[in-house]
Amino acid sequence: MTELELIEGLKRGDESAFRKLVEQYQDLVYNTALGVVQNAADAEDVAQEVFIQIFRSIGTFKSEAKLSTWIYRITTTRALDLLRARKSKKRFGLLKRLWETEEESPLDTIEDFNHPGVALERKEDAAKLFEAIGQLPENQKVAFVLHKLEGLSYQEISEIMGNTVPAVESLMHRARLNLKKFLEKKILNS
Amino acid sequence: MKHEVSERIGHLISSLDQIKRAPAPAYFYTQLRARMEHSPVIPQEGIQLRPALALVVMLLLLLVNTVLILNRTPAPTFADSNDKEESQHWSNEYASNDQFPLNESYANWASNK
Repeated sequence: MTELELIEGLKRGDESAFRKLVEQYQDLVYNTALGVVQNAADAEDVAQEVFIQIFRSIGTFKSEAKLSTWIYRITTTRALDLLRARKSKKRFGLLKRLWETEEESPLDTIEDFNHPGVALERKEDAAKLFEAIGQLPENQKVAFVLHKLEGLSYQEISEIMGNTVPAVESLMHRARLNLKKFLEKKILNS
Repeated sequence: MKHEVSERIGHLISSLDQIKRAPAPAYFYTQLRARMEHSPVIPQEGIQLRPALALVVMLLLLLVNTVLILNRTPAPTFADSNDKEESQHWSNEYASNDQFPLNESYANWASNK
């Protein structure tokens, strides 16, 4: 089934076309979401939401763009939405804790994130790097994840983010600088 | 020391160099279908409903505003109350004047004279 046939099938509401789409893109969506949200359950939730949105709005998809570009865009937007929601929940939680006793409030446990695609001997280093990636501003985080985890070129990232290639280059440069700063602090403090 | 730190940072940053794509969880499609069946997804409905909802809310607001404007009774102004007080004052003063009582007509007053 070609991409065009797949899109036509989805527009007709064809169940087999939807199944084919999910099978073809589920790893791409899940891996991208996982890189941004750094939690397996949240990444699965985001991935499901992405496919639901695709099913809902396939009518608005213009065939001039690549389907994968559109799917990457939906995935990064949804993943960032989840991060924002998590942040505001955290802020509310802090306020709530002011009125709670110590026994009532749950302990703040920040677990190290381990990406399943990292080789065993690099897991510890990768966990530190993911912690640093988590501190990056949204745009830098998305560009870095798409480049490092999905192996996309700057040209492809620029199409997904609606930027120019020099803008993506600049984002990646700033991301690397920020990562270095964060990691340096972490190494010196340990 | 500085060289060691920068070497360590380089090592950390390159830890993702040969990373493999994480596969989606098993039975992803089955779980997705179950979620879609729990909350039925109708393509485009949400987008089409929003302008209609906005229009209804706008019309309701307009209706409430119109009703409020039409039912408004004009509040007595300062000038109005001033006029009433003044006329009452003059009326009292003339009523006390027996030479020309205001509660009688001029004809009656003239005939009594």
